[in-house]
Amino acid sequence: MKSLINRLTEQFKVSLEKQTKSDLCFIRVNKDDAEQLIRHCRDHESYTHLSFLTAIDRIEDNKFTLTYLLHNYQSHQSLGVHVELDRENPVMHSLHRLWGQMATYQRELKEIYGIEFPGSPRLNDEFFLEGWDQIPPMRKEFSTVEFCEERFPIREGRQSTDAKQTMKVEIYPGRGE
Amino acid sequence: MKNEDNTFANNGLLPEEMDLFCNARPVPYEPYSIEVVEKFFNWMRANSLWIMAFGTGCGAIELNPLMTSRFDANRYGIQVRPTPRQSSVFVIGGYSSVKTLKRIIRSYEQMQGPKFVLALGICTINGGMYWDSYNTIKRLDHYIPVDVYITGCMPRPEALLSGFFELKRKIKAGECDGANRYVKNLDWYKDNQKRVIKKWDMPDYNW
Amino acid sequence: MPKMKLKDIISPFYVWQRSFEKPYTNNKPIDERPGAPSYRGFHVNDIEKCVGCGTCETICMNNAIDMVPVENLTAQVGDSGLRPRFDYGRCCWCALCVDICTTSSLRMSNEYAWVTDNPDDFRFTPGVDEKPWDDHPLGYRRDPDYSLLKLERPAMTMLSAEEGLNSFDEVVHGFTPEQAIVEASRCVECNICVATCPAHMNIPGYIKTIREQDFEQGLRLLYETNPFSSTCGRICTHRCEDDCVISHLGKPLAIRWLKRYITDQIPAEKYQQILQHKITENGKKVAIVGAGPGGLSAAYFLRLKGYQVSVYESAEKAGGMLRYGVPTYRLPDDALDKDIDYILSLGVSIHYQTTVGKEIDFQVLYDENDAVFFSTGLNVPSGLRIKGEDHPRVLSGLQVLCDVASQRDPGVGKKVAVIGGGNVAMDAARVCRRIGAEVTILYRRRIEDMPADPEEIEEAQAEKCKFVTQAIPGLIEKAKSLKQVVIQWGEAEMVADDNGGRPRPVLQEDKMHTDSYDCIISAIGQAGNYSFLPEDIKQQLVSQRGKFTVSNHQQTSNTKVFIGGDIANKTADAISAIADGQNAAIGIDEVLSLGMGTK
Repeated sequence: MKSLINRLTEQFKVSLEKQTKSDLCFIRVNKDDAEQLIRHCRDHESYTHLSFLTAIDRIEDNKFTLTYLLHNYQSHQSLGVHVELDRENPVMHSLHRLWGQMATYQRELKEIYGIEFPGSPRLNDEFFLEGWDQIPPMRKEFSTVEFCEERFPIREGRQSTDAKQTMKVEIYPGRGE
Repeated sequence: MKNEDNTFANNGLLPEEMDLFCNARPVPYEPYSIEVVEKFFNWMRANSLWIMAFGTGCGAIELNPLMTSRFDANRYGIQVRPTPRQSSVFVIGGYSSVKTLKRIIRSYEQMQGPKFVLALGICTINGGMYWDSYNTIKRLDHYIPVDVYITGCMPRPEALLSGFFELKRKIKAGECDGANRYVKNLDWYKDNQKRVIKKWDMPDYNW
Repeated sequence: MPKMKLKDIISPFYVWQRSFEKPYTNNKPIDERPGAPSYRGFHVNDIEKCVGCGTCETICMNNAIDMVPVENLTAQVGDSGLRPRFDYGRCCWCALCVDICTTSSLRMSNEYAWVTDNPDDFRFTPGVDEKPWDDHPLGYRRDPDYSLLKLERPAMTMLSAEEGLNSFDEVVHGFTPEQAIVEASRCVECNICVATCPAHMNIPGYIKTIREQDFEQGLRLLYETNPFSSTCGRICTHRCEDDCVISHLGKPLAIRWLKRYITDQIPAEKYQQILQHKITENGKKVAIVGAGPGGLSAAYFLRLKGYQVSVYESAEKAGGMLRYGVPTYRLPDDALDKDIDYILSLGVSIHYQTTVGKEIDFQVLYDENDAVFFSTGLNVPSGLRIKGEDHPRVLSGLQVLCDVASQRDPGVGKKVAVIGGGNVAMDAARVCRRIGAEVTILYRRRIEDMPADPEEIEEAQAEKCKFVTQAIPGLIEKAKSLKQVVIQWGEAEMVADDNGGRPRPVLQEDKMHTDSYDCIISAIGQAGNYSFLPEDIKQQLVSQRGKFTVSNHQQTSNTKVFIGGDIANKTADAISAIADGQNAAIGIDEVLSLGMGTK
């Protein structure tokens, strides 16, 4: 994979992030160079298959990281392309012209992370949520537990007792602070 | 949600769809006045439990062995029908997401009475594994009436079968009033349903 | 059209032969198919064995378990009295609760079918709510060879017995950072030990700070309840470890060593900066008699509440029994000084070599202060109550320890007999070994009956103290040399007690022995000395079996007088004295600031 990385670094502004296995490595590229790089990989490096597109919410860095995982059927190697987006205004170029199924991934990311892909077909159609009225659910600031408590009632009668407090009251009332 | 004449407002429908759906309220089932006849009816109902073939969650997989030769549920009068109009039992197979819940309600309301609901697995009882999921309901009985609960994750086909036996016993004893509860408390059920189903683009009651 | 053969007509009927085969269908599917022998079915809990630690509740990822109070069960030391209630609307039978169960009380039956029309039935407490599967013998159990809990302690590095004999250096080295993290990560944070600790220290809290490597927070937690953490980290009787839930299956956590580890990580100079105690004076005065753990603990907590505290100590240095009764190989002076210096740095005034009753009258303290706390300890050795015990070569264990601690020669000679089986006896014996004497320990019962800490006994044995058990001293006589003494003792037989008490030793008159020693050290117990108390106050104090009766907050029937430490509690150890000091401070504060009595 090294030669591939070398070839790519000659032509694009990419940096190797890490090689996790002998047949899988991740590179990082600017948002604006991503389309060109991925197109190049598809057309000239035989990375013809898009395994998936997903996002990672790095709330501590105020960033989203998109991961495009490409696969080369000839060498059986995979290449992950990381693209960083600003978390406040997450917009990425739509790559649905490279692979038709990209539109579906982009639609999913729009729904669960709120990442915009202008020009992507049916981007704003509901994917698996219907009538979602909160912030996108996979964003880390969305608290599922709080939301569940508020939206979905659970069966009454669940209450746990704290052992420390019980023992304090029953064994040594008044002792200690 | 009610009109002045106690019919449904069907606010979720587009104006041009209004005429396509009925807006009358369902009425509770009245048992036959002669007790013996009603008992006979119940015996017949208990021995022809037709399952609605709608696998709502992972529990649907437990229905398959039930119908094949080891358990051979057909001998108990249990069989699967492909449409709500022909079925009398709805097996909710575990968790149901909000999106599925909408289809469950639609199918349940389209089923002809007398109809019964079997809640299969822990997720229908109190959320189960999905207790903190943003997209699944936690207790099914808030949204549709349930007649028999089977605990397990997943319950084995034997447990499901004992659920059917319990359902049969209840039907024969005339205790299965789930559908009537639904009709009598329809407003409460509809409130609960609409609290979670934010996109209500169907009639208030799916006749 | 091809011609049809006979075979083609008959072949469909071959299937009829199947009607003679055994059918695949189960006739009674529910009865015929029990769960596999180790099936993870419905839960069974042995509530006698369960201690309500709540580890199952913590590990349950589905939030299916609640700890609930149960009828006929109350909390007691080592048992919270709560039992797990399962919600079968949540449980997914992953059996993590069974695998983590600290007592192995929780298991599963192989029953798996439960059908009801009332879903609230599915919340039940196994072992309390009767269920048909309670007696099922089969079902999932934790594999005995496998445990989610770490049951073994990392080995503590210690001086070997030979090395120990040659010096007064500390025997225990303390955990290395790696060991401390390993040990700290064994804690399940059940909080059961908190009730056992007399000072009710936040044990899981400070152990957690070791895992998180936040020792400053650890120190703050320690000082919430115990100003003698460095000391207790070495010599505490660690009753918390007896009730550690891990001890049901493995070795309890080394809670004491972990406490020591935290204090060892922080140099004394940094204490003030980390603890940041701010004191607002409230103008009230409290006198404290005795600068032992009880007195200084009370001084610390009273000082934090803003009282002006004066401590009166008869010895040259503070620390009481910790300094003069505990040898330095168990508690080095600098570890003790670290604690005491911090307490004194808060502005506690201390009067050394001031014996109340001699240099200053108790009545003066009583009149000049708003309250008086005393914990003067048990410092009068009990006599052997045998003939000849006033022989000059009969020394007291406490005196020997005190001499050694003050770096004086105790003058024990080369061949020593120690009488007694408590910690003082063990310490005296080990100290004598270190100054080069041969030591024989005479004890009237068996080794397992000895009140000393097991580890002290083990170490004394390792240091080659000779143990003579079931030996009852009978008579002490003069020897030919003035530097020697002769003791007659008889072998005893253990006789079971008919009333169910522990077996008692009975002297066998025909098995008497006579031995000669350079000295005999008597260490069979101590009593208090209350001669400093004025008669009228003494009259007001109630005592029972040599111990003062006090309220929860150490208050006596004289509302101004508070008592703590060995003279007031049954357990008579450092941590109880520290707890008494803390509670006395609470009690004094209640009386003085709120003007109310205390419970």
